[in-house]
Amino acid sequence: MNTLYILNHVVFSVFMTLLLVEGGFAITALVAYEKYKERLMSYITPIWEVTGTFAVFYVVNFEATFPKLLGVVGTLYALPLLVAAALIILRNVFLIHGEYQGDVGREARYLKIYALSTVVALVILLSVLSSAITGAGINTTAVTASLAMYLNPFNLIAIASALLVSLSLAIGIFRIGNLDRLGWLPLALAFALFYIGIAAFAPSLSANLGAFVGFIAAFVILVAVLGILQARSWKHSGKLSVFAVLFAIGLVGMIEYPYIFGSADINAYLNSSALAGPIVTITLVGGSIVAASLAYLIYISYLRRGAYED
Amino acid sequence: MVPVVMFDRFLMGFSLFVHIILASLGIALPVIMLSAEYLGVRRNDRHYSTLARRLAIAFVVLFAIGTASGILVAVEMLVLWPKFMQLVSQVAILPFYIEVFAFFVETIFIGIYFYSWDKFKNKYLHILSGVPIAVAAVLSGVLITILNAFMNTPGSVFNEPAFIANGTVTGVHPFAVFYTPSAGMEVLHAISSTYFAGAFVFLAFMAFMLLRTTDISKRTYFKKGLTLALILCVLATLLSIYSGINSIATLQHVQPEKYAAIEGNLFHNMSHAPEKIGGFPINGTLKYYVNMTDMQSILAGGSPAAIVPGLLNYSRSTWPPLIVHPMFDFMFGMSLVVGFILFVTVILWLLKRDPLESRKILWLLVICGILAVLIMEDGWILSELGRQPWIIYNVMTVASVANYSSGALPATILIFAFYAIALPLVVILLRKIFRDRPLEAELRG
Repeated sequence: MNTLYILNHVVFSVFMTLLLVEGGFAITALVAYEKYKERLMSYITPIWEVTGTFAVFYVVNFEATFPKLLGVVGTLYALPLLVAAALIILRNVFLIHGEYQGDVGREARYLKIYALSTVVALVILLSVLSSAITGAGINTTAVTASLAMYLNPFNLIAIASALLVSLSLAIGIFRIGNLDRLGWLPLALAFALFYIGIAAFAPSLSANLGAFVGFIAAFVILVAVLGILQARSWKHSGKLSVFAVLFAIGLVGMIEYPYIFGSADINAYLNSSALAGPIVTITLVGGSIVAASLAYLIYISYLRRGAYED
Repeated sequence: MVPVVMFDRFLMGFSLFVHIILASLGIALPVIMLSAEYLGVRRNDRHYSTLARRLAIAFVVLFAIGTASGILVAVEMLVLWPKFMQLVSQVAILPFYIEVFAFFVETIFIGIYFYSWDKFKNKYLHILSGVPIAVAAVLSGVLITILNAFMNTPGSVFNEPAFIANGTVTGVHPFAVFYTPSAGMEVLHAISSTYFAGAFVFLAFMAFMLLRTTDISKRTYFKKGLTLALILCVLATLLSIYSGINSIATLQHVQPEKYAAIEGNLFHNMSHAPEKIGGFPINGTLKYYVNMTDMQSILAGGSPAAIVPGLLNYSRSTWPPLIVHPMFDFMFGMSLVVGFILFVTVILWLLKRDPLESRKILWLLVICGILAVLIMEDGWILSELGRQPWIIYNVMTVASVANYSSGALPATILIFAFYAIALPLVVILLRKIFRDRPLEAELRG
């Protein structure tokens, strides 16, 4: 597997995980904001800009990794990507509006608009992603897309699975109601749905048998471990579910390789210019700096007031 | 019927128009914010500390919308100009790529700085945690400008003749993009102009607030903020003047058509060239201008015999639009006005005749803030128009790489509508935030 592809998929996995966690935040905010306000805000305030920045990172990393794909992707997905970007403007404005509102009623209203923008953006991005996986609704030769890009069984299953994953993360992280022992359940359901979707509607992916079986085995073990830990009310099980999702998205990348648009070979689109080497180096160096900075952010966010001496 | 490429242009231009204002504030405000915090800690001065805290809130709000507009610009680069990005990604994406990490560092340290205000016993450590914000913000600007310099003067980044002949990408020098012929000049001018505009906007706001208050403590607060902004304005203005002169001097060698269009040189390359002040392009020629004999040759080459580029030496199909000439004159003229007001303010200051007590001076400073934004936007638009019809000078035209799918039209309307909601909401929010946090209460502690 090509190094550029692996790095691109690592970036994608982190971005998608953050987005799905935010999806969980949005679902909770839409359903029961007032009840879980404090937990929700203490999660979102230090991290929401990082999710936004990961979106830019993924776009630029994608451009650097698959330059020969940009002509097709830019033309096919112009409308959904621009709409998703516009929704991100709304997301940011209403989130920051809600955060500083002061008035509880307005705060909830603004955060619900934020949550709706986030969920719709997530659904649009998932539609783009699923059509890139299966090729449904798009013609790469004529470079045209139809409504079938959105309204196809695999996409609907992918969206349903993603929303279930978000729900699972919301239960795990924000400890919704008395469901915190059952966070693994929607995750398992999402997995089963996604498996059926691949087997029924993405034959080229299920043909990648070795990776596909590995994907199933790894996921079953993951969900089982998570289920046991959550059943025992292990306090870190919410955080563990984030890593489980991250790992699962990584596995999807493995079974997806080397296909794109159903049956095209993704290697044909990889960056083969002299920039490939420097891009790998910069990703590793820059990624290390970002990881260290993020670790410092997490460390600082756990400090009490006036706790840091020198 | 308006061609789709015009929608692509309009959308990209509009998004950048908004993003540039936010980016200017994003680059200038951290410098003022950290300086204020440093002075607050060093002198145990409540006014400066309060200024730093209030600026931090404003900065976070502006950064939120700035990030969103940044995401939009990144997506637009991909979907509006896919073939351009296809080439850039194979030959010159490193600055853009590194910029993402600078953006990341800025984002993370904003989180650290903003949410850790009371967590450090040693207050200097908190200031230190804000330094990466200021550094990463300016680094982002530098790196994006380097990519823009590649578009203006691609230099030896890749084998251009082979690409033009058969579309193949060969001879790529990965790091050559960092030192293209116009890179140094452009970076200096773009960054100084960004500080110029950002600092002047803050200066204008503080001047306006000072005009509205009679409370002594509040007046001291606004004056201290004004003083900090004034220092940055003076430095940025001096650097902008130097880099601006340097830019136009370099331009005649690296982008002669752009230079000729900016000067309105509707003649062949010539010596004893006149400087045309004013004038508007009407039916392909320039009218209503004042001619200053030999002056352009003297300014450009130090002698009346110096030869300057003329548009007639180039095919008319590659001429930039002549509107860049009055746009340049506007930028130059307004810069003179701002520079003069700033000069008067500083002189009065040096003569110890407190200019910030003069309502006339304060109103003039408010006007300077508006002009500074207009100057920066005008300068950026004329720089981009001056490269037309090329997206990469002498390599690729804008029309040849635009996205002609019809998706651009509804997206343009939608994004315009979203900005129409988002931008007023940001102003309303900032007003509300500061109304809920009365300055007098914060100054009293």
